[in-house]
Amino acid sequence: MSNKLSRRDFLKLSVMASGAAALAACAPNAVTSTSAPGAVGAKKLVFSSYTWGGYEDAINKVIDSWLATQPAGSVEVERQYADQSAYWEKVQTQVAAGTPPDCGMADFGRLLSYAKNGTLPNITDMVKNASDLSLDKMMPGALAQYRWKEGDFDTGAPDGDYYGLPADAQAQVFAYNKKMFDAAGVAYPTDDWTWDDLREAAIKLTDPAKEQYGFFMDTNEGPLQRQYWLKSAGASLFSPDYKKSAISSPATTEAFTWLWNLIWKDKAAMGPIQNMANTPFMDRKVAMTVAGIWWATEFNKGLEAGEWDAALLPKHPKTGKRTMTLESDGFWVFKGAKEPELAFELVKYFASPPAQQMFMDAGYVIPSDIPDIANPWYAQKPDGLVKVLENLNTDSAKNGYTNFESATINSVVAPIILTAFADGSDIAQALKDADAAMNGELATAWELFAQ
Amino acid sequence: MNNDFARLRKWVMKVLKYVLLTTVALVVIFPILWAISSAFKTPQAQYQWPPQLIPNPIDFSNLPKLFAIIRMDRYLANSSFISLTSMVGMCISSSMAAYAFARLRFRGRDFLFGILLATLMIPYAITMIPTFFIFSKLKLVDTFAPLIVPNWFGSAFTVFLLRQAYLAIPQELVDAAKLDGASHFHIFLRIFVPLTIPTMVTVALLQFLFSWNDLLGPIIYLNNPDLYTVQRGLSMLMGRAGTMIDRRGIIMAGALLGMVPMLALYIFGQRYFINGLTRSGIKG
Amino acid sequence: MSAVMNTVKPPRKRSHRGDELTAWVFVFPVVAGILLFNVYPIVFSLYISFTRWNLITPPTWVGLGNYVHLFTADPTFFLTLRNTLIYAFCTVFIGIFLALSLALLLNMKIAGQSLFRAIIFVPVIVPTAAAALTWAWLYDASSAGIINAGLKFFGVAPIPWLTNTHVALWAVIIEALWAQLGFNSVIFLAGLQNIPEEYYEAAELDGANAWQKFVHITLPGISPVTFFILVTSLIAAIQVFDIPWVMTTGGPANATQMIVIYLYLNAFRLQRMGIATAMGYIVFMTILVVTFINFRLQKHWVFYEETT
Repeated sequence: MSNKLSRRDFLKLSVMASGAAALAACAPNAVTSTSAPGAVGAKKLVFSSYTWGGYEDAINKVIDSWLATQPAGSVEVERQYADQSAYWEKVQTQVAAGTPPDCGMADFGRLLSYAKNGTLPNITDMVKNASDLSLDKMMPGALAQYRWKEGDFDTGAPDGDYYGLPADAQAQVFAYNKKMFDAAGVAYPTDDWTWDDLREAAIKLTDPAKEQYGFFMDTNEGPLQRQYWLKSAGASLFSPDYKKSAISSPATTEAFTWLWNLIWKDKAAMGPIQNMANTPFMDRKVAMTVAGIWWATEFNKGLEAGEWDAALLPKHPKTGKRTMTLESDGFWVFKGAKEPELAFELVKYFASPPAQQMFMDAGYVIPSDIPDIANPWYAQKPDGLVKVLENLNTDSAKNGYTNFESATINSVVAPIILTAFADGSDIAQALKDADAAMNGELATAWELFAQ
Repeated sequence: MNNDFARLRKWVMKVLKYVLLTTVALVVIFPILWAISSAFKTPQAQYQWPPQLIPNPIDFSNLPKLFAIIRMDRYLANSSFISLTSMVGMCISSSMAAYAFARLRFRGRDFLFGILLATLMIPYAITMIPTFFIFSKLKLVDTFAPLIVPNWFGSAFTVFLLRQAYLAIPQELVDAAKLDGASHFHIFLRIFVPLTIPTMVTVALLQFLFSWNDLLGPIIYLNNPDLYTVQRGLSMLMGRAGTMIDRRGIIMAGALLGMVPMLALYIFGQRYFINGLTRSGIKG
Repeated sequence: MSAVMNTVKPPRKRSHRGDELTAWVFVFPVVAGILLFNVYPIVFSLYISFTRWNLITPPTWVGLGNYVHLFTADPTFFLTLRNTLIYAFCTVFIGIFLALSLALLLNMKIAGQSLFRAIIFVPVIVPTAAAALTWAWLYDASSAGIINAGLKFFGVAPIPWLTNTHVALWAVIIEALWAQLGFNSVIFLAGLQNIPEEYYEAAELDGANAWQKFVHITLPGISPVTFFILVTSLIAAIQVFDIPWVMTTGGPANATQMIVIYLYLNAFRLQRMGIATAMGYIVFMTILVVTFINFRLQKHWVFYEETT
């Protein structure tokens, strides 16, 4: 008698419990579907991207305008967004589970591995056959990062196959604070400036009492990842065939040491800061900086009108080069997409003028890769921004950080070099150690490459 | 003369202790005071020298600006939901198991309890990946489930605490109830639970706190920003979201907002937190 | 009498069998939890640690390959091991010293003891991300960071708390000490209050001074509590994640990179499940060894009350 009562009571409780647990499990899930209900038989595309700020709205606008070009109700686009830091883990998980999206935001650092292991289909034919795609109007450096020839250790082969399309072209801007220059009585940077001129000005602009430095450049992003600093000096991290490290070569050592000296000997440049890049310029702590062009909007927001301007990257005193590296956010199609041609159409649309215009109008610092669209962007204030376009047209190269296993190699080699920058310890020794580490990592990477 | 000297010395020692304690308390509470202060400062005031403790003028705009950048309202709701449901589940499952370990006789009871305590030694470093794998196969990644469901299976620590409390209940009450023909479930629900409410509240609050402050779980399982918890949302402020101009006040407003719910909970349930810990600590 | 016994016996026998079934019902969620979230992971992790697996292609057996790689070809791993052990030993031992001192201070019969106790406990309940954001601002390298501002006031040059590779680890340790002080102090305080007053009185009668009372009564008296804090703090400290993740993301240049952070990165960023689970097992073994050593050493310094 008493047992029956206990079992009934328990049953009640367990039903309650499992109900609550089920409720928890069914709580809001990932998909933020903003597609309009399609007609019966509508084709469905799954699109994913990372977002920040209001970027999601801009992307949605572009997708909606693409949908308007398709027969009404024939296509639905399910959109999956994730925060930038979490996005790639999510994509990896989806790919691993065999349920990747149809198309989405690309990543130049992963393009090679994904192309190699079959995550991305070769879309060269679709690209070549597209009549409405004007490849010649796109910046070569941007396109290069989406091309890969099988067997190459890096992307960018001029005859490589296509695995994605660029939607913008981002480079660097050399920005300076006019107010600080005026206060210190230093003349503004000119087109003839070399690294030596930069150094001289930086020393004059440094004021310990005000905790102000003359120059700041993120040592990780510049020399080690994007490598524009090294390329200007005619230096490199790797031998041309990627089999050996070139860190201890004279040119590379000289380039790194130049920057290190400016920070620790001349004390005219700010050392590495944690986490963020280029906020010292915004905080008015440094007079000059080299930043990604996407920082220009932030500078506009924070600094007063007329307080800053852009100039050509100072040239290397010996080589005379001022190489900017081009990196491009773009979009790609995943293998296993149920509607590959349709997915490609969407990707192609992102790379086309109407989409570019929309991104620009939305205020996204995504200078377009098509000169017709790019010019108005570069014409915004301050006047010097147009110099960036000039620099790009005269001397630009493909972004670094695109070779096979670059993330892994970088994670081992970069800290060795960065420690010397962070602590002010012996840079020559650090470069030697980094050289050895790089050779080790390259050997491992090539083994993996062969599999 | 000696007596006076001894009394003077005692008095001086006492004053010294108060001064020391007050200093320590101030140092400990200072970061929170600074967070409050910075959250209401204008961008110029953040970098001013000498620094102000009490902002003047008081800037209330950091909080609305914060909400424009990250969806803190959403995150507060998400965190509350996850913490509440985890708390309920933990209380139910742990108390039931604790009752069984404390009062029921069954084969392998002590062995099982030993195993349970042994699981305290298993680092989450080991369980992290397989648990992820389970939820990934169940297609529950990017939902709240992985953050809530494991708490419905109890935990060694809470079972231990509750078992302690249940062991203290006099056997006579149980015998009297049994003579009246009550079932175990009845005894559990009508006698044990009501008599151990303080311990249960401790368990509930600790679980709520633990769920609210969990960072690694949301990092692993939540990718969609709409689902983020407060901790996860705050960790974004150290990344790209935290690089916009005049960000200091906004970041500190975020930090403050992250602290406030827990501070409120603490003021309400402070003795439960502390008592629960001391009881488990001294028994070792 | 026997008539009453006769009527009572059958129900007791039934409830004993029912006992067993009811017990299993009550214990089921916890048991299921042990199997699902403890037993299965231990076995699965062990298996995966002997394979190379990236979640996409099926796992391939590599035997001890992952462990060999970690100990011979992964300099970052050694760095994280070193950082984690320094962090663990510093926070635990310095933490115990500070917490015990604070508890002794609090234990004096003073007014407002519970208020002080409540205040020092606050950092324990503050979410780690919020605390890390606050401390990152306190640690700012310019004089806007209040700690450097204080140093500037005394004429000391600012310290690059979060950008120098040697200082950064200490910055994290200091924040961790701040966050845990209240927790350990409160437990120590309870332990101190548990020492019977008579012991001290008896010692005073024997002419013991304050130091002797401390060494011969207080320390042994709280040794079980000390042991508990030592063991649990070490286990938690070896697996630290939150503070270094939010404040410095393991930087600068891996100066604050900890084992579990590196494990997470290997598993979820680099998809190297085999390496990650191998690291998990190394953490497990470290914890077991450390705890075993603690348990072994306890007979030398831990005095348990004789239960009467």
